[in-house]
Amino acid sequence: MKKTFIIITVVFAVLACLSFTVKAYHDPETVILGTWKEVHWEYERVYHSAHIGRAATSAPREVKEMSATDLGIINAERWVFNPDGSLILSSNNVKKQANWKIKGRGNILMITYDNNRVERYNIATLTKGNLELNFDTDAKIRGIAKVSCIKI
Amino acid sequence: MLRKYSNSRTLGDNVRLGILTALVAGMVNVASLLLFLSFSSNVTGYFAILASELVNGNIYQIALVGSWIFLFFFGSFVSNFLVINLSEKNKYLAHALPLLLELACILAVGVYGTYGYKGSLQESELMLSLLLFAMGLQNGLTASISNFAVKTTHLTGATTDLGVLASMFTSKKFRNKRELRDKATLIFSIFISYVVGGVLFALFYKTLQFKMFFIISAFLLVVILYDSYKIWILKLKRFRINRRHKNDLVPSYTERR
Repeated sequence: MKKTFIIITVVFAVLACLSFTVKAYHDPETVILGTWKEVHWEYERVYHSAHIGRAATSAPREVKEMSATDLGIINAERWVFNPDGSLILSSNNVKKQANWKIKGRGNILMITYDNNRVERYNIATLTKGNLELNFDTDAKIRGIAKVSCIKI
Repeated sequence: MLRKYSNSRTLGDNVRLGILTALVAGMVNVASLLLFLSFSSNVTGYFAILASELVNGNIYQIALVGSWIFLFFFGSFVSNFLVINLSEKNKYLAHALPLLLELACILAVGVYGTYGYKGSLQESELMLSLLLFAMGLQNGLTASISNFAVKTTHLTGATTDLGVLASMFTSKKFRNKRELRDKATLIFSIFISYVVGGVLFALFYKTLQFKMFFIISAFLLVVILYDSYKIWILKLKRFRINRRHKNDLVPSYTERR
């Protein structure tokens, strides 16, 4: 029993060290900090719509307008994630402040606005230079839209 | 609920254990879904995520999901390890200890969530790790002491079993078999209890938030103390019988004279 206990402790310690090392190397809450610029909008999947063809061939600007008319991020072209949990969404003439949190297993970005409205986005990619968010859209076209950003 | 082992358990023992632990599992699973947006009482989905992240080469996700799966496994391992090593000394203690560990994990999440949680990812991941370990402990214990008849943290196997049983009940030959009816009763009560647990958490979580974990702990305490209370009553009865027996054997002072 003593031997088994020692083996278990060693295995556990090794796994814990490994997890902390990986966490230090790539922590989503650290990687996301900074300023991001929107570069592309597209439909990843369309469930059902009379506009399927349109969704596939539309320009990014048109996809943005079609997919997220009621989302807070729609008017933003620049996103600034601050370490204190605040998020500043800005375009040429609009500036909006919200709060951000990463949830789940680091795969969900939760944005809370002043009026307590909460929006959830799936983080498809998060590297030091790229951020891709997926979200369900129920506006003109029902499906999954994708917004891609690069770090500036 | 906890004293008896394997085949000496009755349907009633299994149903009681199943109902209470499924209620806890249902609450914990919905809790982690609503509070952390991840599941904590089943790992099948995490195996699928692990496979897809292995293909993507996402080391962070592989390490995280892999450690969650390991913690569920480790919880189950610890449970059975305690059961097989301590049963000879004290069966009740061997069966109650995994639940006490589970209680400690759930209480830790409740206390930290209520008084110290700031909403960071690291905190969520650690609390989810504790909950996965706790669910592994619970599933390992119920499966171990009931000869794999009671598994309450996930319902995939139970749904399969119920489907098989439902098809068997279409034939009169099987419908009359008591052991099949007992099995269906057990699975069905686990189903209902799991869903009720989930609904209860979802109903009260907006007002109570992390304090709901104290209610979950109370349910676990009922499971632990139910048998302890019975053991004390048995001990008390035995003590009284022995005392009476002693008094009968030793002649009283007046008789001796």
